[in-house]
Amino acid sequence: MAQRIDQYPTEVIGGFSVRQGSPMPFGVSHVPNGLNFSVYTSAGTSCTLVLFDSGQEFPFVEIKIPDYYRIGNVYCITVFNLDVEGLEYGFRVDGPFVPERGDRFDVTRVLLDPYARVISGRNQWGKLPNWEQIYPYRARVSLDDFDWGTTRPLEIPPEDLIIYEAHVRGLTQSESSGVKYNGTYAGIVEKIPYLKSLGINALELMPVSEFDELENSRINPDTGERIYNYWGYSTVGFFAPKAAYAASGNSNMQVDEFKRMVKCLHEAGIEVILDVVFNHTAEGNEHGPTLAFKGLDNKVYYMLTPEGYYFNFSGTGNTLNCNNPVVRALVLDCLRYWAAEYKIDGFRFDLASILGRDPWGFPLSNPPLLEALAFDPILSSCKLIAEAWDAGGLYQVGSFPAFGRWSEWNGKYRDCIRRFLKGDQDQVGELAQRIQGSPDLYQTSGRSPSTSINFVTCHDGFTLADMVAYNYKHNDANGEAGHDGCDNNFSWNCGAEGPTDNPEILALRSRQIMNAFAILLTSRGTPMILMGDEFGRTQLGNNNAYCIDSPLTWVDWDLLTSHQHLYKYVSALIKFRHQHPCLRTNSFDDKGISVPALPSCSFHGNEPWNPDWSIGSRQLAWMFCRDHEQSQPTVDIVYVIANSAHYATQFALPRLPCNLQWAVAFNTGIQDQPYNNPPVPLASSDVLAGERSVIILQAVPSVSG
Amino acid sequence: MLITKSQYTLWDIVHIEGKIDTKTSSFLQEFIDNEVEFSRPLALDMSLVTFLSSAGLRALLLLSRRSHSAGSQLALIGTNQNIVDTMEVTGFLEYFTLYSEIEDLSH
Repeated sequence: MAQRIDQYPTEVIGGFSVRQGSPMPFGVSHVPNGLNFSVYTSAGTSCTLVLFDSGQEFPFVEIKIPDYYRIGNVYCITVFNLDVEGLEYGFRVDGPFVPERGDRFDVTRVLLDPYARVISGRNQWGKLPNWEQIYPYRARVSLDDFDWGTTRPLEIPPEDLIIYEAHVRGLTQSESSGVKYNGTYAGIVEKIPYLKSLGINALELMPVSEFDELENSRINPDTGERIYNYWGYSTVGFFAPKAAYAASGNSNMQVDEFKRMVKCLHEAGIEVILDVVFNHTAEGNEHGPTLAFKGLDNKVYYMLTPEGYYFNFSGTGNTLNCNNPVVRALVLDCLRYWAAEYKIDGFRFDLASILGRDPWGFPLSNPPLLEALAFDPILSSCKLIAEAWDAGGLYQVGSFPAFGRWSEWNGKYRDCIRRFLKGDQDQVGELAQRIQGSPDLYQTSGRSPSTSINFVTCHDGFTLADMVAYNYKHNDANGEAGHDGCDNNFSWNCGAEGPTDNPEILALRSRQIMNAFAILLTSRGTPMILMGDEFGRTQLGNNNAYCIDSPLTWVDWDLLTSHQHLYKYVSALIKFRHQHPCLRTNSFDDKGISVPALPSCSFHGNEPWNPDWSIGSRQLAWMFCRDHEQSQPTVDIVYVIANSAHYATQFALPRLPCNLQWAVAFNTGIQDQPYNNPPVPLASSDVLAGERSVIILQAVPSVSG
Repeated sequence: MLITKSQYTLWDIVHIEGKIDTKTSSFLQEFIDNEVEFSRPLALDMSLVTFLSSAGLRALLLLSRRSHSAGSQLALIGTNQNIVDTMEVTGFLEYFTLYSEIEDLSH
């Protein structure tokens, strides 16, 4: 390769050969013979590059970046002949400390690069650090040379996805997981055969960007157990995978380990969706630590009151100032990096409504960040999923600014299914909307059923087994005297609070779990399942276990053996969904089928075509139809009867042409055999729906026809 | 790091002792450039390697690519379990053939 002039230094500072750097890209980048460093501060008055040898308490050099290397508000420098592998780097930025004007510079701190791609210093989960360190989280240099072979993002149509929400540590930390690399990215790879056998095709991981599990950590005086930030919704570094989630974290190889996990999941046909937290950071409010943003440019990165205090729309101390153009660019750069470098298939945005607020906290009608993400060329095939509310009272399910691209966690779906299941009155009308993809929320704005991420449970709240075993939250282990967590759970314990030996209650709970899965997996939209719900995972009634790192929150894989019947039922339902395109129709205007003439979606009661919409009704049947050219018969017809009343009812079924007949694929009312493979044809034209049960039928070629 | 070379049947064996990281991998590179011809299969005796860093793994992978494009073979001998684990979780393992003893190499 021809030599270039800029491969040579122009001067020596602090014993190191340097030259003027390039302001783009931000962060650290490889240049011939050296590394380029670039960092932004609008109000800082000077910037020093601080370099450490791996793990050393004190730096080996501090290079004050000459002011003539500054371009605009960006300090940039190229340093030659560094040991890239052993290097840790940070910045000291000087400037005013005038909180009432928003400035909180502190030159005694070494600051983390907001673009750091590898972060070390906390490579082992839960290990108490030296809190006095001037530089606890340390940026390192990533090589980003992973060999992806021929794998690429999967681009599965959103309506065909079945999402499985999991926590990296929680999924395999328990010894019962049987994996070699407990609680890590590598542990997830070991569970791929299981995920494939279950049948899901997207894995949504709770936060994986570097966070501090010891943030607000303390000992619960009642239990003596340590309280953690276990979930990780509090970012330290947006670009860096959490080191303590990597079996190779002690060798700082988390980037390779994460990429190998994505590659293996893609090879297994499973997409990877990341839960990203751009609404706040781990720096907290004025009492929190100064790690990066506070010391780099406090009033740019955070939403501040006129007096310089932190707005708290996230409920966690501070609010990232996402619609400031500089912060917006950081968010966009970050997602592009994950999409391009890690081949991530989609992102779920925690408290996404915050991303639509202006710097003073007011909701914007056309939020530039959400628009930029929706139209970005690199993110164009990524799923963008909003948690369409925030802790400041903005609730946007159905009205989130979508730009034709965003889908939403549908909290209304969750609440309606729960209320219907427990037998609340006046739910049937709303249920009809929810199971067809919530057209009441999404049709008039031209959105499609897959806009709705349907779920009954997620990490936040009861597990499904707890939803049918507890009327009330039991959050004592969280150390907040039971004040934390949601009180409106729409749960029902089926007759006793918590564990019981009563066989009738246990049978009812088991049936209610199956009913929930049956409705979820026969609803249009994109279903999401919480890890372990498919075999009855419990958190003993804790509905806000964000701070518990113990067997309470880890998946107990022994339940897979003891609840094998439930697991088999759920995996049969998932396969059923994959086999039936009429359940995945992604248009509210679908015309249905012409022979026999049936609409795409229709509703029924104990008499066909005659649903009972009255307030007291607790029964609804729905029929989905669609042409299905690749199979025999050439029409796909599925009929679902949901009975949440406390009594059994005979349901007459719609007539089919003589070449088709009804067959029962699932019936949760039959405890010993809730599913039939293949479906069992019905001899009669009606079927008995037992109390609190769901029956799923499909049209099959008739034996005589 | 100490590097020596021997032969076993058709194979060139390069014995490595110590750590393979950014600093030492260039010595390894240099040694192989001077001492090894890729016309013969090459085995790295890893039994006395105590640590293999990210940069060290990349040096080995580059070596494997070179050997592959020369139509030859590369094997690792006696790699300790910690290193094998790191190679496994980071995806490097699939690019290498491992043997426990020199005597396991094909004749």
